[in-house]
Amino acid sequence: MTARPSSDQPSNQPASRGGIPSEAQLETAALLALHAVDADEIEAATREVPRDLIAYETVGSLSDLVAKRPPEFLREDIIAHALSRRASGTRHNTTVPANPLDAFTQTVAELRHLLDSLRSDEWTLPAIAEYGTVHGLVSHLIGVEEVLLGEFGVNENPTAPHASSHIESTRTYVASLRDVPSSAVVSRWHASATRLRDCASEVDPETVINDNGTESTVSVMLITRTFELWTHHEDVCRATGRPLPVLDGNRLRLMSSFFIALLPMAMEIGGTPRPHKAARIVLTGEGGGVFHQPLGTEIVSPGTMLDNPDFTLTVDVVSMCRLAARRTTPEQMGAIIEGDRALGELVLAGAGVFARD
Amino acid sequence: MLTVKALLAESVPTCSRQWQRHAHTMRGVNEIVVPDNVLVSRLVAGDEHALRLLYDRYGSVVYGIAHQVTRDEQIARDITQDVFVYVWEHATRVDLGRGSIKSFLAMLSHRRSVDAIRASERRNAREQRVASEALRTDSCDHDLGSTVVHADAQRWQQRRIAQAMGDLSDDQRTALQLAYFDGLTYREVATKLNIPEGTAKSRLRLAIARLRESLAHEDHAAWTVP
Repeated sequence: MTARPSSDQPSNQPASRGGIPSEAQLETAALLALHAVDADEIEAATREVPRDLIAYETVGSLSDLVAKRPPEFLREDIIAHALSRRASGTRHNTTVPANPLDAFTQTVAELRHLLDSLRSDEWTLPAIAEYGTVHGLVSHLIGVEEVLLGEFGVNENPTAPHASSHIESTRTYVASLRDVPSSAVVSRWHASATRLRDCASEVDPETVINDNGTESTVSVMLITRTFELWTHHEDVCRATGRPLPVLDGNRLRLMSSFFIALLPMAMEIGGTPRPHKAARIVLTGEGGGVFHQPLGTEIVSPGTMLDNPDFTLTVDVVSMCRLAARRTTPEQMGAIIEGDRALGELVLAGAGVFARD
Repeated sequence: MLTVKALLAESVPTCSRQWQRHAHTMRGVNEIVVPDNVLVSRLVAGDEHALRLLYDRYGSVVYGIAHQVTRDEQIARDITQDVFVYVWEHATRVDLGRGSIKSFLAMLSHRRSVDAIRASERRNAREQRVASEALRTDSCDHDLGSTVVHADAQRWQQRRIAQAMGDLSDDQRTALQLAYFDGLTYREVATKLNIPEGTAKSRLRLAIARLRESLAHEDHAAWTVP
Protein backbone atom coordinates (compact mmCIF):
# COMPACT_ATOMS: atom_id res chain seq x y z
CA MET A 1 0.00 0.00 0.00
CA THR A 2 1.00 3.59 0.21
CA ALA A 3 3.07 3.29 3.35
CA ARG A 4 4.92 0.41 4.90
CA PRO A 5 3.52 -0.56 8.28
CA SER A 6 6.10 -1.05 10.96
CA SER A 7 6.44 -4.63 12.05
CA ASP A 8 5.43 -3.95 15.63
CA GLN A 9 2.28 -2.11 14.72
CA PRO A 10 -0.74 -4.01 16.04
CA SER A 11 -3.52 -5.01 13.75
CA ASN A 12 -6.67 -2.94 14.10
CA GLN A 13 -4.81 -0.41 16.09
CA PRO A 14 -6.98 2.05 17.98
CA ALA A 15 -7.51 5.43 16.48
CA SER A 16 -4.84 7.96 17.15
CA ARG A 17 -7.18 10.80 18.00
CA GLY A 18 -5.63 14.16 17.80
CA GLY A 19 -2.94 13.04 15.37
CA ILE A 20 -3.14 14.44 11.86
CA PRO A 21 -3.53 11.62 9.37
CA SER A 22 -1.21 11.58 6.42
CA GLU A 23 -2.51 11.78 2.89
CA ALA A 24 -1.44 8.20 2.38
CA GLN A 25 -3.48 7.09 5.36
CA LEU A 26 -6.52 8.95 4.13
CA GLU A 27 -6.13 7.32 0.76
CA THR A 28 -5.92 3.88 2.26
CA ALA A 29 -8.86 4.64 4.55
CA ALA A 30 -10.99 5.57 1.56
CA LEU A 31 -10.07 2.38 -0.25
CA LEU A 32 -10.86 0.28 2.82
CA ALA A 33 -14.25 1.91 3.25
CA LEU A 34 -15.02 1.16 -0.37
CA HIS A 35 -13.65 -2.38 -0.11
CA ALA A 36 -11.56 -1.39 -3.08
CA VAL A 37 -8.34 -2.94 -1.83
CA ASP A 38 -7.01 -6.09 -3.41
CA ALA A 39 -7.00 -9.17 -1.21
CA ASP A 40 -3.21 -9.27 -1.01
CA GLU A 41 -3.11 -5.72 0.35
CA ILE A 42 -5.87 -5.77 2.93
CA GLU A 43 -3.78 -6.89 5.87
CA ALA A 44 -1.17 -4.21 5.35
CA ALA A 45 -3.85 -1.60 4.70
CA THR A 46 -5.72 -2.30 7.93
CA ARG A 47 -2.49 -2.06 9.87
CA GLU A 48 -1.73 1.25 8.26
CA VAL A 49 -4.90 3.08 9.10
CA PRO A 50 -6.50 3.92 12.45
CA ARG A 51 -9.96 2.45 12.48
CA ASP A 52 -11.79 5.69 13.08
CA LEU A 53 -10.35 7.09 9.89
CA ILE A 54 -12.28 4.67 7.71
CA ALA A 55 -15.34 6.49 6.43
CA TYR A 56 -17.84 3.66 6.57
CA GLU A 57 -20.59 6.04 7.60
CA THR A 58 -20.08 8.23 4.56
CA VAL A 59 -19.73 5.33 2.19
CA GLY A 60 -22.71 3.60 3.77
CA SER A 61 -24.84 6.60 2.83
CA LEU A 62 -24.37 5.70 -0.81
CA SER A 63 -26.40 2.56 -0.26
CA ASP A 64 -29.52 4.73 -0.10
CA LEU A 65 -29.13 5.38 -3.79
CA VAL A 66 -29.57 1.77 -4.73
CA ALA A 67 -32.11 0.69 -2.11
CA LYS A 68 -34.32 -1.89 -3.71
CA ARG A 69 -37.24 -3.75 -2.28
CA PRO A 70 -36.36 -7.41 -1.88
CA PRO A 71 -38.78 -10.09 -3.07
CA GLU A 72 -41.72 -10.43 -0.67
CA PHE A 73 -41.01 -14.04 0.26
CA LEU A 74 -37.49 -13.23 1.38
CA ARG A 75 -38.55 -11.65 4.66
CA GLU A 76 -40.09 -14.73 6.19
CA ASP A 77 -37.39 -16.97 4.73
CA ILE A 78 -34.76 -14.90 6.44
CA ILE A 79 -36.63 -14.75 9.73
CA ALA A 80 -37.15 -18.50 9.71
CA HIS A 81 -33.50 -19.11 8.90
CA ALA A 82 -32.36 -16.67 11.59
CA LEU A 83 -34.57 -18.32 14.21
CA SER A 84 -33.23 -21.72 13.27
CA ARG A 85 -29.78 -20.42 14.18
CA ARG A 86 -30.78 -18.64 17.34
CA ALA A 87 -34.18 -19.18 18.92
CA SER A 88 -36.41 -16.25 19.70
CA GLY A 89 -36.18 -14.99 23.24
CA THR A 90 -32.66 -16.23 23.80
CA ARG A 91 -30.34 -13.53 24.88
CA HIS A 92 -26.79 -13.33 23.73
CA ASN A 93 -24.51 -14.68 26.39
CA THR A 94 -27.66 -16.01 28.00
CA THR A 95 -27.76 -15.09 31.62
CA VAL A 96 -29.23 -17.70 33.88
CA PRO A 97 -31.13 -16.47 36.91
CA ALA A 98 -29.08 -16.63 40.07
CA ASN A 99 -29.97 -19.18 42.68
CA PRO A 100 -32.07 -17.23 45.23
CA LEU A 101 -29.87 -18.30 48.12
CA ASP A 102 -26.70 -17.26 46.30
CA ALA A 103 -28.32 -14.00 45.23
CA PHE A 104 -29.27 -13.15 48.79
CA THR A 105 -25.84 -14.13 50.14
CA GLN A 106 -24.02 -11.98 47.62
CA THR A 107 -26.30 -9.01 48.13
CA VAL A 108 -25.81 -9.21 51.89
CA ALA A 109 -22.05 -9.25 51.41
CA GLU A 110 -22.13 -6.23 49.14
CA LEU A 111 -24.30 -4.22 51.49
CA ARG A 112 -22.05 -5.14 54.40
CA HIS A 113 -19.08 -3.91 52.43
CA LEU A 114 -20.82 -0.62 51.74
CA LEU A 115 -21.91 -0.10 55.34
CA ASP A 116 -18.41 -0.81 56.60
CA SER A 117 -17.11 1.93 54.35
CA LEU A 118 -19.40 4.67 55.67
CA ARG A 119 -17.94 7.53 57.67
CA SER A 120 -19.58 8.29 61.00
CA ASP A 121 -21.19 11.49 59.71
CA GLU A 122 -22.78 9.60 56.84
CA TRP A 123 -24.87 7.49 59.19
CA THR A 124 -26.95 10.52 60.09
CA LEU A 125 -27.71 11.51 56.50
CA PRO A 126 -31.36 11.25 55.51
CA ALA A 127 -32.02 8.04 53.60
CA ILE A 128 -35.69 7.24 53.09
CA ALA A 129 -38.56 8.95 54.85
CA GLU A 130 -40.00 5.97 56.70
CA TYR A 131 -36.80 5.35 58.68
CA GLY A 132 -35.16 8.74 58.64
CA THR A 133 -31.43 8.32 58.44
CA VAL A 134 -29.08 5.70 57.06
CA HIS A 135 -28.86 4.42 60.62
CA GLY A 136 -32.65 4.11 60.79
CA LEU A 137 -32.72 2.27 57.49
CA VAL A 138 -30.23 -0.34 58.65
CA SER A 139 -32.15 -0.70 61.90
CA HIS A 140 -35.21 -1.41 59.82
CA LEU A 141 -33.30 -4.15 58.02
CA ILE A 142 -32.42 -5.73 61.34
CA GLY A 143 -36.12 -5.80 62.09
CA VAL A 144 -36.96 -7.42 58.78
CA GLU A 145 -34.35 -10.15 59.14
CA GLU A 146 -35.25 -10.88 62.75
CA VAL A 147 -38.99 -10.98 62.15
CA LEU A 148 -38.33 -13.47 59.38
CA LEU A 149 -36.01 -15.44 61.64
CA GLY A 150 -39.03 -15.80 63.92
CA GLU A 151 -40.66 -17.73 61.11
CA PHE A 152 -37.86 -20.23 61.40
CA GLY A 153 -38.25 -20.29 65.18
CA VAL A 154 -34.81 -18.86 65.90
CA ASN A 155 -35.52 -15.26 66.80
CA GLU A 156 -34.11 -14.87 70.28
CA ASN A 157 -34.97 -11.19 70.57
CA PRO A 158 -38.49 -10.75 69.35
CA THR A 159 -38.79 -7.11 70.24
CA ALA A 160 -41.64 -6.64 67.84
CA PRO A 161 -44.69 -8.78 67.31
CA HIS A 162 -45.64 -9.98 63.87
CA ALA A 163 -47.40 -7.35 61.94
CA SER A 164 -48.93 -7.32 58.51
CA SER A 165 -47.03 -4.21 57.59
CA HIS A 166 -43.42 -4.38 56.53
CA ILE A 167 -42.82 -0.91 57.91
CA GLU A 168 -44.85 -1.24 61.10
CA SER A 169 -43.26 -4.53 62.05
CA THR A 170 -39.85 -2.91 62.26
CA ARG A 171 -40.76 0.42 63.78
CA THR A 172 -39.81 -0.67 67.28
CA TYR A 173 -36.42 -1.79 65.99
CA VAL A 174 -35.76 1.59 64.45
CA ALA A 175 -36.73 3.33 67.68
CA SER A 176 -34.89 1.04 70.05
CA LEU A 177 -31.66 1.04 68.07
CA ARG A 178 -31.52 4.78 67.58
CA ASP A 179 -28.66 5.28 70.05
CA VAL A 180 -26.78 2.11 69.26
CA PRO A 181 -23.42 2.78 67.56
CA SER A 182 -23.46 2.25 63.82
CA SER A 183 -20.80 -0.45 63.97
CA ALA A 184 -22.99 -2.46 66.33
CA VAL A 185 -25.99 -1.93 64.08
CA VAL A 186 -24.05 -3.22 61.11
CA SER A 187 -22.83 -6.25 63.02
CA ARG A 188 -26.30 -7.11 64.26
CA TRP A 189 -27.87 -6.73 60.85
CA HIS A 190 -25.18 -8.84 59.23
CA ALA A 191 -25.49 -11.53 61.86
CA SER A 192 -29.26 -11.63 61.38
CA ALA A 193 -29.02 -11.75 57.62
CA THR A 194 -26.39 -14.46 57.74
CA ARG A 195 -28.51 -16.46 60.13
CA LEU A 196 -31.52 -16.04 57.91
CA ARG A 197 -29.53 -17.36 54.99
CA ASP A 198 -28.38 -20.35 57.04
CA CYS A 199 -31.95 -21.10 58.07
CA ALA A 200 -33.17 -20.82 54.50
CA SER A 201 -30.44 -23.15 53.27
CA GLU A 202 -31.53 -25.87 55.64
CA VAL A 203 -35.12 -26.19 54.45
CA ASP A 204 -36.84 -27.03 51.19
CA PRO A 205 -36.97 -23.82 49.11
CA GLU A 206 -40.68 -24.43 48.60
CA THR A 207 -41.39 -24.43 52.31
CA VAL A 208 -44.23 -22.05 53.01
CA ILE A 209 -43.58 -19.21 55.41
CA ASN A 210 -45.36 -16.06 56.48
CA ASP A 211 -43.59 -13.01 55.14
CA ASN A 212 -45.11 -9.99 56.87
CA GLY A 213 -48.63 -11.34 56.60
CA THR A 214 -48.18 -12.73 53.09
CA GLU A 215 -47.99 -16.42 52.50
CA SER A 216 -44.77 -17.05 50.66
CA THR A 217 -42.12 -19.69 50.11
CA VAL A 218 -38.57 -19.60 51.32
CA SER A 219 -37.38 -19.25 47.76
CA VAL A 220 -39.63 -16.27 47.07
CA MET A 221 -38.69 -14.73 50.40
CA LEU A 222 -35.02 -14.86 49.40
CA ILE A 223 -35.78 -13.14 46.10
CA THR A 224 -37.76 -10.38 47.77
CA ARG A 225 -34.99 -9.99 50.36
CA THR A 226 -32.46 -9.67 47.54
CA PHE A 227 -34.70 -7.10 45.90
CA GLU A 228 -35.02 -5.13 49.10
CA LEU A 229 -31.35 -5.22 50.05
CA TRP A 230 -30.33 -4.09 46.56
CA THR A 231 -32.89 -1.30 46.70
CA HIS A 232 -31.70 -0.12 50.10
CA HIS A 233 -28.10 -0.46 49.00
CA GLU A 234 -28.95 2.03 46.29
CA ASP A 235 -30.79 4.20 48.85
CA VAL A 236 -27.66 4.40 50.99
CA CYS A 237 -25.53 5.19 47.96
CA ARG A 238 -27.88 7.97 46.94
CA ALA A 239 -27.94 9.35 50.48
CA THR A 240 -24.18 9.38 50.73
CA GLY A 241 -23.40 10.41 47.16
CA ARG A 242 -21.77 7.13 46.23
CA PRO A 243 -22.03 5.51 42.80
CA LEU A 244 -24.87 3.05 42.53
CA PRO A 245 -23.90 -0.61 42.60
CA VAL A 246 -23.78 -2.54 39.36
CA LEU A 247 -25.68 -5.74 39.89
CA ASP A 248 -24.60 -8.80 37.94
CA GLY A 249 -26.84 -10.13 35.21
CA ASN A 250 -27.73 -13.30 37.07
CA ARG A 251 -29.34 -11.46 39.95
CA LEU A 252 -31.03 -8.98 37.64
CA ARG A 253 -32.43 -11.87 35.66
CA LEU A 254 -33.69 -13.50 38.85
CA MET A 255 -35.35 -10.35 40.11
CA SER A 256 -36.76 -9.18 36.81
CA SER A 257 -38.25 -12.50 35.76
CA PHE A 258 -39.80 -12.84 39.21
CA PHE A 259 -41.26 -9.38 38.96
CA ILE A 260 -42.56 -9.78 35.40
CA ALA A 261 -44.37 -12.97 36.39
CA LEU A 262 -46.13 -11.00 39.13
CA LEU A 263 -47.51 -8.37 36.78
CA PRO A 264 -50.99 -9.95 36.44
CA MET A 265 -51.25 -10.03 40.21
CA ALA A 266 -50.01 -6.46 40.44
CA MET A 267 -52.76 -5.35 38.10
CA GLU A 268 -55.36 -7.23 40.04
CA ILE A 269 -54.19 -5.77 43.34
CA GLY A 270 -54.09 -2.34 41.77
CA GLY A 271 -57.69 -2.70 40.69
CA THR A 272 -56.89 -2.66 36.97
CA PRO A 273 -57.09 -6.29 35.90
CA ARG A 274 -56.82 -6.84 32.17
CA PRO A 275 -57.76 -10.41 31.35
CA HIS A 276 -57.17 -11.67 27.82
CA LYS A 277 -54.47 -9.07 27.26
CA ALA A 278 -50.79 -9.75 26.87
CA ALA A 279 -47.50 -7.91 26.66
CA ARG A 280 -44.16 -8.54 25.08
CA ILE A 281 -41.64 -7.15 27.49
CA VAL A 282 -38.11 -6.71 26.24
CA LEU A 283 -35.68 -6.01 29.03
CA THR A 284 -32.41 -4.81 27.63
CA GLY A 285 -28.96 -5.01 29.12
CA GLU A 286 -27.12 -7.73 30.98
CA GLY A 287 -29.66 -9.90 32.78
CA GLY A 288 -32.51 -8.86 30.51
CA GLY A 289 -34.52 -10.93 28.09
CA VAL A 290 -37.79 -11.20 26.23
CA PHE A 291 -40.95 -12.04 28.14
CA HIS A 292 -44.34 -12.87 26.69
CA GLN A 293 -46.56 -12.12 29.60
CA PRO A 294 -50.33 -12.42 29.99
CA LEU A 295 -51.77 -9.53 31.97
CA GLY A 296 -54.71 -11.41 33.37
CA THR A 297 -54.60 -14.16 35.94
CA GLU A 298 -56.48 -16.62 33.74
CA ILE A 299 -54.68 -19.65 32.43
CA VAL A 300 -53.32 -19.00 28.94
CA SER A 301 -52.37 -21.76 26.59
CA PRO A 302 -49.18 -21.20 24.62
CA GLY A 303 -49.57 -19.93 21.10
CA THR A 304 -52.67 -17.89 21.78
CA MET A 305 -52.74 -14.22 22.58
CA LEU A 306 -49.10 -14.36 23.60
CA ASP A 307 -48.20 -14.58 19.93
CA ASN A 308 -49.98 -11.31 19.30
CA PRO A 309 -49.32 -9.16 22.33
CA ASP A 310 -51.25 -5.95 22.78
CA PHE A 311 -48.07 -3.98 23.18
CA THR A 312 -44.32 -4.28 23.29
CA LEU A 313 -42.49 -2.61 26.11
CA THR A 314 -38.76 -2.04 25.79
CA VAL A 315 -36.79 -0.82 28.74
CA ASP A 316 -33.51 -1.63 30.40
CA VAL A 317 -33.65 -4.28 33.06
CA VAL A 318 -32.27 -2.14 35.87
CA SER A 319 -34.89 0.55 35.31
CA MET A 320 -37.59 -2.08 35.39
CA CYS A 321 -36.32 -3.38 38.73
CA ARG A 322 -36.20 0.17 40.07
CA LEU A 323 -39.75 0.73 38.93
CA ALA A 324 -40.79 -2.38 40.81
CA ALA A 325 -39.10 -0.93 43.88
CA ARG A 326 -40.70 2.47 43.26
CA ARG A 327 -37.28 4.06 42.88
CA THR A 328 -38.12 5.43 39.46
CA THR A 329 -41.27 6.44 37.66
CA PRO A 330 -42.63 5.38 34.29
CA GLU A 331 -41.87 8.89 33.05
CA GLN A 332 -38.26 8.74 34.18
CA MET A 333 -37.39 5.28 33.02
CA GLY A 334 -37.39 5.93 29.28
CA ALA A 335 -39.53 2.96 28.33
CA ILE A 336 -40.69 2.60 24.76
CA ILE A 337 -44.18 1.29 24.20
CA GLU A 338 -45.33 0.09 20.80
CA GLY A 339 -48.90 -0.93 20.22
CA ASP A 340 -51.57 -0.26 22.84
CA ARG A 341 -49.83 2.60 24.56
CA ALA A 342 -52.59 3.20 27.12
CA LEU A 343 -52.43 -0.39 28.29
CA GLY A 344 -48.65 -0.26 28.47
CA GLU A 345 -48.78 2.86 30.59
CA LEU A 346 -51.37 1.27 32.84
CA VAL A 347 -49.08 -1.68 33.46
CA LEU A 348 -46.15 0.58 34.27
CA ALA A 349 -48.26 2.76 36.54
CA GLY A 350 -49.21 -0.22 38.67
CA ALA A 351 -45.85 -1.95 38.61
CA GLY A 352 -44.72 -0.67 41.99
CA VAL A 353 -47.61 -2.14 43.92
CA PHE A 354 -45.43 -4.70 45.68
CA ALA A 355 -42.86 -2.18 46.88
CA ARG A 356 -43.15 -1.93 50.63
CA ASP A 357 -41.04 1.05 51.48
CA MET B 1 -37.68 5.77 -13.18
CA LEU B 2 -35.86 7.92 -10.74
CA THR B 3 -32.38 8.88 -11.74
CA VAL B 4 -29.88 10.70 -9.65
CA LYS B 5 -30.46 13.73 -11.80
CA ALA B 6 -34.19 13.45 -11.31
CA LEU B 7 -33.64 13.24 -7.60
CA LEU B 8 -31.47 16.29 -7.75
CA ALA B 9 -34.20 18.16 -9.54
CA GLU B 10 -36.57 17.70 -6.65
CA SER B 11 -36.41 20.06 -3.76
CA VAL B 12 -34.07 18.99 -1.01
CA PRO B 13 -35.06 19.87 2.53
CA THR B 14 -32.14 21.44 4.24
CA CYS B 15 -32.78 20.45 7.79
CA SER B 16 -32.82 16.96 9.18
CA ARG B 17 -35.33 18.07 11.79
CA GLN B 18 -37.73 18.72 8.97
CA TRP B 19 -37.33 15.14 7.93
CA GLN B 20 -37.86 13.91 11.45
CA ARG B 21 -41.04 15.92 11.81
CA HIS B 22 -42.24 14.66 8.50
CA ALA B 23 -41.43 11.07 9.29
CA HIS B 24 -43.35 11.38 12.50
CA THR B 25 -46.41 12.81 10.82
CA MET B 26 -46.33 10.11 8.24
CA ARG B 27 -46.48 7.43 10.83
CA GLY B 28 -49.28 8.97 12.83
CA VAL B 29 -49.33 10.06 16.41
CA ASN B 30 -49.87 6.67 17.96
CA GLU B 31 -47.18 4.81 16.14
CA ILE B 32 -43.81 5.11 17.69
CA VAL B 33 -40.59 4.96 15.72
CA VAL B 34 -38.28 2.68 17.61
CA PRO B 35 -34.80 4.21 17.66
CA ASP B 36 -31.99 2.11 16.23
CA ASN B 37 -30.24 1.78 19.56
CA VAL B 38 -33.38 0.31 21.10
CA LEU B 39 -33.72 -2.00 18.14
CA VAL B 40 -30.20 -3.28 18.66
CA SER B 41 -30.79 -3.78 22.38
CA ARG B 42 -33.85 -5.78 21.53
CA LEU B 43 -31.89 -7.90 19.09
CA VAL B 44 -29.40 -8.63 21.82
CA ALA B 45 -32.24 -9.55 24.15
CA GLY B 46 -33.49 -12.02 21.55
CA ASP B 47 -36.60 -10.21 20.36
CA GLU B 48 -37.47 -11.63 16.95
CA HIS B 49 -39.93 -8.80 16.42
CA ALA B 50 -36.95 -6.45 16.45
CA LEU B 51 -35.37 -8.49 13.67
CA ARG B 52 -38.52 -8.03 11.61
CA LEU B 53 -38.43 -4.29 12.26
CA LEU B 54 -34.77 -4.14 11.33
CA TYR B 55 -35.46 -5.99 8.10
CA ASP B 56 -38.41 -3.76 7.27
CA ARG B 57 -36.28 -0.71 7.90
CA TYR B 58 -33.07 -1.69 6.15
CA GLY B 59 -33.86 -4.73 4.03
CA SER B 60 -34.04 -2.60 0.90
CA VAL B 61 -30.63 -1.05 1.60
CA VAL B 62 -28.99 -4.41 2.19
CA TYR B 63 -30.65 -6.09 -0.77
CA GLY B 64 -30.22 -3.04 -2.98
CA ILE B 65 -26.49 -2.76 -2.53
CA ALA B 66 -26.04 -6.51 -2.95
CA HIS B 67 -28.12 -6.47 -6.12
CA GLN B 68 -26.32 -3.44 -7.46
CA VAL B 69 -22.86 -4.88 -6.95
CA THR B 70 -23.51 -8.47 -7.95
CA ARG B 71 -26.24 -7.87 -10.58
CA ASP B 72 -27.56 -11.26 -9.58
CA GLU B 73 -30.88 -11.66 -7.78
CA GLN B 74 -30.09 -15.02 -6.29
CA ILE B 75 -26.75 -13.90 -4.91
CA ALA B 76 -28.34 -10.68 -3.64
CA ARG B 77 -30.98 -12.70 -1.80
CA ASP B 78 -28.32 -14.95 -0.30
CA ILE B 79 -26.27 -11.98 0.84
CA THR B 80 -29.33 -10.30 2.33
CA GLN B 81 -30.09 -13.43 4.28
CA ASP B 82 -26.50 -13.76 5.32
CA VAL B 83 -26.37 -10.20 6.62
CA PHE B 84 -29.54 -10.35 8.68
CA VAL B 85 -28.81 -13.77 10.08
CA TYR B 86 -25.35 -12.54 11.03
CA VAL B 87 -26.78 -9.56 12.88
CA TRP B 88 -29.32 -11.76 14.63
CA GLU B 89 -26.65 -14.22 15.69
CA HIS B 90 -24.07 -11.63 16.62
CA ALA B 91 -26.11 -8.65 17.74
CA THR B 92 -23.66 -7.88 20.51
CA ARG B 93 -21.06 -7.02 17.88
CA VAL B 94 -23.11 -4.09 16.69
CA ASP B 95 -21.65 -1.17 18.58
CA LEU B 96 -23.60 1.97 17.86
CA GLY B 97 -20.81 3.99 19.39
CA ARG B 98 -18.87 3.25 16.22
CA GLY B 99 -21.51 4.10 13.66
CA SER B 100 -25.12 3.64 12.69
CA ILE B 101 -26.76 0.29 12.27
CA LYS B 102 -27.51 1.23 8.69
CA SER B 103 -23.89 1.84 7.87
CA PHE B 104 -23.00 -1.43 9.57
CA LEU B 105 -25.52 -3.34 7.49
CA ALA B 106 -24.54 -1.53 4.30
CA MET B 107 -20.87 -2.18 4.97
CA LEU B 108 -21.57 -5.84 5.60
CA SER B 109 -23.70 -6.22 2.50
CA HIS B 110 -21.19 -4.39 0.36
CA ARG B 111 -18.28 -6.38 1.68
CA ARG B 112 -20.00 -9.67 1.03
CA SER B 113 -21.12 -8.56 -2.42
CA VAL B 114 -17.61 -7.57 -3.34
CA ASP B 115 -16.31 -10.90 -2.05
CA ALA B 116 -18.93 -12.67 -4.11
CA ILE B 117 -18.05 -11.02 -7.38
CA ARG B 118 -14.35 -11.33 -6.80
CA ALA B 119 -14.70 -15.06 -6.87
CA SER B 120 -13.46 -15.58 -10.41
CA GLU B 121 -16.26 -17.69 -11.78
CA ARG B 122 -18.85 -15.19 -10.63
CA ARG B 123 -16.88 -12.25 -11.88
CA ASN B 124 -16.94 -13.56 -15.40
CA ALA B 125 -20.67 -14.11 -15.31
CA ARG B 126 -21.23 -10.69 -13.85
CA GLU B 127 -19.07 -8.98 -16.42
CA GLN B 128 -21.05 -10.60 -19.14
CA ARG B 129 -24.25 -9.27 -17.65
CA VAL B 130 -22.77 -5.80 -17.26
CA ALA B 131 -21.46 -5.85 -20.81
CA SER B 132 -24.89 -6.68 -22.13
CA GLU B 133 -26.35 -3.60 -20.51
CA ALA B 134 -26.38 -0.33 -22.35
CA LEU B 135 -23.12 1.55 -22.13
CA ARG B 136 -23.41 4.28 -19.63
CA THR B 137 -21.31 7.31 -20.37
CA ASP B 138 -22.58 9.27 -17.42
CA SER B 139 -22.52 7.14 -14.35
CA CYS B 140 -24.98 9.41 -12.59
CA ASP B 141 -27.57 8.67 -15.20
CA HIS B 142 -27.62 5.12 -14.04
CA ASP B 143 -30.97 4.27 -12.55
CA LEU B 144 -29.71 4.23 -9.01
CA GLY B 145 -32.62 3.83 -6.71
CA SER B 146 -34.90 3.18 -9.60
CA THR B 147 -37.04 0.53 -8.09
CA VAL B 148 -37.74 1.47 -4.61
CA VAL B 149 -37.48 3.51 -1.53
CA HIS B 150 -41.00 4.66 -1.13
CA ALA B 151 -40.91 6.25 2.27
CA ASP B 152 -40.61 10.00 2.04
CA ALA B 153 -37.88 10.10 4.62
CA GLN B 154 -35.79 7.71 2.61
CA ARG B 155 -36.54 9.64 -0.56
CA TRP B 156 -35.28 12.75 1.10
CA GLN B 157 -32.11 11.00 2.18
CA GLN B 158 -31.73 9.63 -1.32
CA ARG B 159 -31.94 13.11 -2.78
CA ARG B 160 -29.43 14.34 -0.27
CA ILE B 161 -26.91 11.69 -1.25
CA ALA B 162 -27.63 12.23 -4.91
CA GLN B 163 -26.94 15.90 -4.48
CA ALA B 164 -23.67 15.12 -2.74
CA MET B 165 -22.74 12.82 -5.62
CA GLY B 166 -23.67 15.58 -8.00
CA ASP B 167 -21.20 17.88 -6.27
CA LEU B 168 -18.31 15.59 -7.19
CA SER B 169 -16.28 16.15 -10.29
CA ASP B 170 -17.10 13.79 -13.15
CA ASP B 171 -13.80 11.99 -12.67
CA GLN B 172 -14.34 11.48 -8.98
CA ARG B 173 -17.92 10.39 -9.43
CA THR B 174 -17.02 7.85 -12.09
CA ALA B 175 -14.23 6.39 -9.98
CA LEU B 176 -16.52 6.20 -6.96
CA GLN B 177 -19.27 4.59 -8.98
CA LEU B 178 -16.92 1.92 -10.28
CA ALA B 179 -15.44 1.20 -6.88
CA TYR B 180 -18.59 1.20 -4.77
CA PHE B 181 -21.50 0.36 -7.02
CA ASP B 182 -19.58 -1.93 -9.35
CA GLY B 183 -17.31 -3.37 -6.69
CA LEU B 184 -14.01 -2.81 -8.48
CA THR B 185 -10.69 -2.52 -6.72
CA TYR B 186 -8.74 0.65 -7.22
CA ARG B 187 -6.43 -1.23 -9.61
CA GLU B 188 -9.42 -2.30 -11.67
CA VAL B 189 -10.73 1.25 -11.59
CA ALA B 190 -7.38 2.40 -12.93
CA THR B 191 -7.44 -0.15 -15.71
CA LYS B 192 -11.03 0.61 -16.59
CA LEU B 193 -10.40 4.33 -16.79
CA ASN B 194 -6.96 3.93 -18.28
CA ILE B 195 -5.33 6.03 -15.59
CA PRO B 196 -2.39 5.34 -13.26
CA GLU B 197 -3.22 3.46 -10.04
CA GLY B 198 -2.07 6.40 -7.98
CA THR B 199 -4.54 8.63 -9.78
CA ALA B 200 -7.36 6.18 -9.13
CA LYS B 201 -6.53 6.12 -5.44
CA SER B 202 -6.31 9.86 -5.29
CA ARG B 203 -9.68 10.31 -7.01
CA LEU B 204 -11.34 7.92 -4.62
CA ARG B 205 -9.85 9.64 -1.61
CA LEU B 206 -10.95 13.05 -2.83
CA ALA B 207 -14.40 11.73 -3.66
CA ILE B 208 -14.87 10.33 -0.16
CA ALA B 209 -13.54 13.51 1.43
CA ARG B 210 -15.91 15.62 -0.63
CA LEU B 211 -18.87 13.37 0.10
CA ARG B 212 -18.08 13.40 3.77
CA GLU B 213 -17.97 17.15 3.73
CA SER B 214 -21.22 17.42 1.82
CA LEU B 215 -23.01 15.04 4.10
CA ALA B 216 -21.44 16.58 7.19
CA HIS B 217 -21.13 13.17 8.70
CA GLU B 218 -19.26 12.52 11.83
CA ASP B 219 -17.68 9.27 11.02
CA HIS B 220 -17.11 7.05 13.95
CA ALA B 221 -14.51 4.45 14.50
CA ALA B 222 -14.91 1.91 11.80
CA TRP B 223 -16.70 -1.34 12.17
CA THR B 224 -14.58 -4.40 12.23
CA VAL B 225 -15.47 -6.21 9.07
CA PRO B 226 -16.87 -9.59 10.12
